[in-house]
Amino acid sequence: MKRIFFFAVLFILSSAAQAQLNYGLYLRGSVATQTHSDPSTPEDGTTQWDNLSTFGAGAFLQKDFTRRLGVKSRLLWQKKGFSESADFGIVGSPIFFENATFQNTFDCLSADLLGHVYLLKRSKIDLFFQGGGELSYLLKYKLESDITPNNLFYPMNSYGSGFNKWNASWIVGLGCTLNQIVSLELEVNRDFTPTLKKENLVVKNWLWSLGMNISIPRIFR
Amino acid sequence: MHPLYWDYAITNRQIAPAVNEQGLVKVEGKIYQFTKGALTKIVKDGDYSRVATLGSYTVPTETAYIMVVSAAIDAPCAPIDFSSLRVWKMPTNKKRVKVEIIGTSVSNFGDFSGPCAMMPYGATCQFQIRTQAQKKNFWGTWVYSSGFSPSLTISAATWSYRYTLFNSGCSGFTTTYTNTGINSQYPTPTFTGFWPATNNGTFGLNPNTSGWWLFNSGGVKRYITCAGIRVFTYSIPASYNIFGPSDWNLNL
Repeated sequence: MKRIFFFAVLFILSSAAQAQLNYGLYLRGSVATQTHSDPSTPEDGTTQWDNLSTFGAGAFLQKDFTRRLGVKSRLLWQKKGFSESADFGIVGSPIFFENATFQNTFDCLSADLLGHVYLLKRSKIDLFFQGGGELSYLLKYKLESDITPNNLFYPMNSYGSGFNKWNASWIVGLGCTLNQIVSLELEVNRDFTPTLKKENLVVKNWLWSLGMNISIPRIFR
Repeated sequence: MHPLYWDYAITNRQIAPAVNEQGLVKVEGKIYQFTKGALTKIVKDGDYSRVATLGSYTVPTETAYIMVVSAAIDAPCAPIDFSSLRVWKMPTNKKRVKVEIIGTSVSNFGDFSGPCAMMPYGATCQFQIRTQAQKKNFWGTWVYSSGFSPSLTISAATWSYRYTLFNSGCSGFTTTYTNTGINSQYPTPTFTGFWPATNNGTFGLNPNTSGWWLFNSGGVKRYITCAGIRVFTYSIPASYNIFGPSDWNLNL
């Protein structure tokens, strides 16, 4: 994984040295969640936490090889995670029922490599499909859900620690470029390696994102 | 040739080599009888003629000559589990609900200048009703959906708990307390209740704490609880009110 990450960064740097490249800033807003399952009880299926609104920011580098095909790489910091809404109470006490929402965040540094297929190419607008892979490095995480009594139960009693530092995911999405300057992209990002794997717990990230690329050379041309 | 197998009918297998076929052992003038249940019966004056009466004791109690405690499986500082776990019930193939009891206790909060078992004067206790209701979404995964949070009814639940205070060193029994002395503000071990909506709930029943019960007096740590707090019986009828009754009789 580290090797893939290294080559992705190398691609960005080496490509930047060449002419006719598109590069710029990348911003995104995401709806993030995690799924979890217990391999020992497959009949219980996969459970998905509540959605968490997150964001990310970084830089992109893009090169088109033909009129229809291109490749793009991004290096970004992003937040993944999930939220959990839970009810609490003490039977017989005034605190009979209360509701709490826990925000659980995972800060990652990610590099991705995406292939582009232009579905439509006009002077003012391009439509494209993109797909590829992402490699993420977990910088830090915060689990608000990991408190008593919430962490007495599955799955939070197994969450706690042991998250993988390196994580790989696939990405597919659709986008459009306006005036060759700004691109808007809607994409889904799903782990294919678990961010946490234990005997009774497999956790994977899942994000839906709306991203925006702002091309620096095309602003100033 | 078939192997010959023989075993003691007692819960605590660790003391099997020390007892006779009736589960009896005499130590320092007291007769102890270990049973296949959770009860240990003690003839305090060591009079063997009282052993015949031990069979009539089925719950923890104490008389002038007999003491019955639930200590056979409650080893010092060992966790106690009195949970009642359940599988999902599915009112439709797109919805599922589950109610269960999570119960754990352990005693080991104390003076750690000696071994853990020597001076524990505190205990954790988790006694919780756990409620879950989930809906299957478009992607085939189960979610805690705000659109699916049914009501829950608990009808005439009853339960009993006890703890035993020992002498220092956990080597001798002193007094067993039943349904008393823990969280006196909400001590009543009977309950009927209704939650209008819950799909990811955790509701504590007494005795329950997120920290420690400290067994002390006037700030002095001197009451020793080697075996934690045991909820030794409960009957908690629960209904998740969705598409007709889905009932759980959570009991121990």
